[in-house]
Amino acid sequence: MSAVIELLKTSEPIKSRRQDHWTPMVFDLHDTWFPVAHAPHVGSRPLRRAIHARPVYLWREQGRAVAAECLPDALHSPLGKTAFTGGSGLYPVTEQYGYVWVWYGNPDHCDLNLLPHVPFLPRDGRGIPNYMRTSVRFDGNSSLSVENLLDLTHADFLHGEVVGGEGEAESDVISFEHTSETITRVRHVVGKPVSPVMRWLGGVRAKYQEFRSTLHVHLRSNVCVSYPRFRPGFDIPNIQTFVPSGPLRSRVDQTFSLQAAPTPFRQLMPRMAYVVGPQDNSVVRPQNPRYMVDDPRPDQHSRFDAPGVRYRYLMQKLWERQQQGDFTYLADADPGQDITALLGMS
Amino acid sequence: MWIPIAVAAQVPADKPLGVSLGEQGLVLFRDQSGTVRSLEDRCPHRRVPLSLGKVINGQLRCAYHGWTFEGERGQCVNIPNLNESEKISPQLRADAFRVREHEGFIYLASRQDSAGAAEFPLTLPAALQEAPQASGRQVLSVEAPTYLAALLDGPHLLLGLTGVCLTDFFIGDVSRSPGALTLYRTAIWSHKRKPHEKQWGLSSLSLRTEIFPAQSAARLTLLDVGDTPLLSVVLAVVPGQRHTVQVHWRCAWLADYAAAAPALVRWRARGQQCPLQIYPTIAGAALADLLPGPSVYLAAPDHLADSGAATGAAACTHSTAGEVSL
Repeated sequence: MSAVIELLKTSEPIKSRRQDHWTPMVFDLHDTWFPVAHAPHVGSRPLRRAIHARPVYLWREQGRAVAAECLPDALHSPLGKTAFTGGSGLYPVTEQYGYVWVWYGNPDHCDLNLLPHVPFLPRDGRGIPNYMRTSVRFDGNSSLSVENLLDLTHADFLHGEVVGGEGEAESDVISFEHTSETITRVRHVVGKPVSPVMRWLGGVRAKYQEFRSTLHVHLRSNVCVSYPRFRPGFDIPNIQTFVPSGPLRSRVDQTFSLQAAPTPFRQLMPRMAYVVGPQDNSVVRPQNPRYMVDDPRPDQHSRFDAPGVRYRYLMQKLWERQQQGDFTYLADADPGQDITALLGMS
Repeated sequence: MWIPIAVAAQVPADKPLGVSLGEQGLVLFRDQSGTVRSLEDRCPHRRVPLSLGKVINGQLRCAYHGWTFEGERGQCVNIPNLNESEKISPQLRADAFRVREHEGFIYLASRQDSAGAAEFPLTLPAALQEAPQASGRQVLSVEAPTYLAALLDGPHLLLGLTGVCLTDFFIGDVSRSPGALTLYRTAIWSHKRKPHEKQWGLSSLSLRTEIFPAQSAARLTLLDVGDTPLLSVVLAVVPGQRHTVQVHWRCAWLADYAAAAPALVRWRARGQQCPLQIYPTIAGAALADLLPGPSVYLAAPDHLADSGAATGAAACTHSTAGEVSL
C-alpha cells in the first residue's frame, strides 16, 4: 500500500475564506494573579506547581505563604532565580478567598487591586468548609476549559445525569458583555428538565425548572467566577481556577459557596466536581492535540458560540498587545471591581 | 480502489466505531436502513472525536454539544436548542467518505487506481461460505508493510492455527496476478511451532498466502492434499496511528478440518471454537531475526512472472497416502 492514501469524499470540500488560527496553547499572558493552590494545601513542606511551565514552589514560613521559582534551599544561591522574578526567585504572593495567589509577571507591576473579586467568598478565607473545596485535573489547555464553560449547551449531553437534562428547553437565550480583560456570559433557559442532582439531592420535585447562569471570565488568568441559579432549586456559586500547568495540562482548584442550600445537597454537590470534571475531561483530552497545530479548516459556530467567539477574539488581541511589549490594563478594564450586581446576586 | 478498513460485525446498529487509516481518524456507524456510513472522526464545531458520540435514529450526535450529522454527505441536521425557525447552514458539515460493505468487511474508496486488482479481495472460498466463522481485531505495534512482509516470510510469528505447524519451506516461488502476490508453503499436522525434520518430510498440507499489497490485505488458506480448502483467513492489515497496525480478520473453517490429522492432534484440536489465533504481540527479537524471503517481491513485484501456472502448488504432487513428493 502506498504511504499516502487519498480517500474519496462524498461532497466537495467546503471553501471558506475564513481562517482559524486558534492555537490557544501559545497564550502565555503576563501581569496577572493566579490562584495557584487552596490555602489549606500549603504547609511548611514545599508544594510544587507550575504556571505556563514556569515552576512555582509554595510553602509557609511562620504561617505566611511563600512562592518561589525554586526550592527554599536554592534561594540562597544564584541558580534557579531568573529575570522573571527580578532575580529574587520570589513571586509576589497573597492569600485571599481561601487561595494562595501568585503574581505572574513583572514584579514591579504587581497590584492587589487587580485581584479578581469573588463576592460570595470571605476575602480573608475564613470559615470555608473543606468539603466545599475540590481539585480536578484537566488534560488540556486552559482555554479549552474556559470555552467549555462559556458554552453550557454541552451540559445536556456530557453531564445529563448530573446537572443537565437531555431534552429541548422552551427557550434558551445567550447574552454577553465584555471588556478588554473580561467576558461575562449569561445563559437563561426556561422549561429545562430538572437536573437529577437537584431532584435526588436537593429534593426539587418539579418537572421543569428555570436556569440562569452567569459566568465571569478573567482572560489573563482563566479565573472563572460562576453564579448558576435554579428555580425551583438553589444557587450554586463557585469559582474555578484553570491554572495552566503548561500547554497540555491545567489544574482546577474549585470552591463552592453553598451555605444557603439544604443538607445533603450542600455537602454532596461539591463532590459532583469529581463526576463533572472527568466528563468534561473526556472531550477536552482528545480535543487538545487537535488545537496544537494550526488547522486551515476554521471551527464552525452556532449562535450559542457567540460568547466563545468573542472570547477567542479578545484573547488574540490581548496576546498581540503583549507580544508587542504592552502589558498594561486598558481604561475599560477593572479586574478587581465589585461584580455582585454583574453576577445577578441579590 | 476499495480499501478494507474494518470487519462489518464490529459496527453495530446503535453505536459508532472509531477507526484510523494511518493518521486519518474515521468513524463508522449505521443509518436507519442499516447502511454503513463513514465520517471524519472530528466534529467541525470543536474538533471532538465523533466516535465518542451516539447514534440517534441513524444519525451521529456529537458527545460534546449534541450537533447531529447524517451519514451520506456529513450534513449537520440538528443543533440542540435552536428554535424551529432557525435554519442550519449547509456549510456546517463533517467530511463524509464513500464506503461500502461487502462480504463481512467495510471498505473505503480511495482515489488510487486499482490497476486491475479485485475490487473487494477479502472473500472466503466458496467451499467455506457455509462453514463456521469468527471475526476479530487486533492492534499491534508494527507497521502494516512489516506485517504483510512477515505474512510471507514467517506467518508463524503472527498467527497460529490449532493443530497445524506452518513451515518455512516454500513450494516454488511467489507468483503475481493483477493486484495480488501468491505463495505456497508446506504445513504439517502438529502442535509444535517448529517442525521435526522427519515430520516435515511427511507434510500433507499446504498454506496458500495471497497478499493484496495496494489494498493492504491478505488471504491465507489451508489446503489438504487435494487442494481442498480446510480453513481460510482474510485479513485487512490497516495502518494505524503511531505506526501501529490494526488487523481485522475473518476466519472460516470446516468443522472437521482436522479429520485427517493424527489422533493426538485431532484430540487436542477438538472443541475449539475457532482454530485461528492472531497473536496480540509479536516477539521483537524473532521478528528482527526473520530472514528476508518471498517478501522481497513486495518491494519489487515487477521481477515476477505473471500468473502462478508454472510455480506453486502445481510443482508438487500428492500421493494417495498423504505424503508430498517434490
